[in-house]
Amino acid sequence: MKKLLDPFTYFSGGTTLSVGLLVMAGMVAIASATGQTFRGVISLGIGDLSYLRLAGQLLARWSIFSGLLYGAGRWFSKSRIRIVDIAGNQALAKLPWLVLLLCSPIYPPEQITSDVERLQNTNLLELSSFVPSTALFVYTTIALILLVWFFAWSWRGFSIAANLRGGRAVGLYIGCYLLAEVLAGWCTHALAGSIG
Amino acid sequence: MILLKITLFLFRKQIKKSMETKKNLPNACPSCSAQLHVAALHCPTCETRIEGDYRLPTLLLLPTDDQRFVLDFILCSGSLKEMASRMGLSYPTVRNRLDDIINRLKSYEQ
Repeated sequence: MKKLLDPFTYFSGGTTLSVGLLVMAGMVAIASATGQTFRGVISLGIGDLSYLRLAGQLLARWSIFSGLLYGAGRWFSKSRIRIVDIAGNQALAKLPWLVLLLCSPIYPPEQITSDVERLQNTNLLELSSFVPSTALFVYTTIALILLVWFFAWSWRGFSIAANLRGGRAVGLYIGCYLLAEVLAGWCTHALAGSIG
Repeated sequence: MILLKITLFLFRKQIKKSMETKKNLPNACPSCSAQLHVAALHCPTCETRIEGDYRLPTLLLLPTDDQRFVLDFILCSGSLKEMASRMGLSYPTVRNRLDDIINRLKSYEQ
């Protein structure tokens, strides 16, 4: 149980990297089958992209975030940190996204598209009459729980790999995340339309 | 008779347990938390007794767990990877612990 709640105390480097890469391969396969895409660091979108493009998007969001965290860790940590620990831990921290993708049949992309269209066609005055489906409610709840799980693992993975703790380290992590969100957002958007 | 045997067994077990109990060398005063000094040394073979005022070596100022960690580290020829494998922990976790001990030793030295 301890290993499940805090895997990075027990595993790191090559182990987390190899499992993380398998997780990411699984994510690409499911996203490709269910018609979903990767945007920014934590977002999922709807689209029909090739396997290569999806892999590019996922690798971009992972490498940008890991690279920024490694740079910040090198700058602020007094320990000799290794990129394999940072990148490996961030790869394994993507496990909640694999679970979310596996949950996508609860609220399939076609239903998301139809709900969005229905919402767009709803008059502002009639907006209160828009009743979200049970599937949307269940999926959103699961997504929120998995988002918390992702950030908990991602932060813990960074904290252990870079030997940084306390408020300053949290600030550093949030800063890296926000910057990665912008860079990865731009990158994943560009990849969605440029690589065949 | 059986009751006597059980009592004897429990008594022996208790004595064995008390003999196995490890004594931890205290390094801080329980009253004011200041660093303790060594006032007396005793040879258990010839009963020689030396009295004086000696400072504890820096490594002995570390908590017992950290002293054990340093000893294991030396016994592993300074290999953090081997330490991590033996302790069942990840490499960064072990490295972080060593860094914490280094910082603590540096603060003792100052």
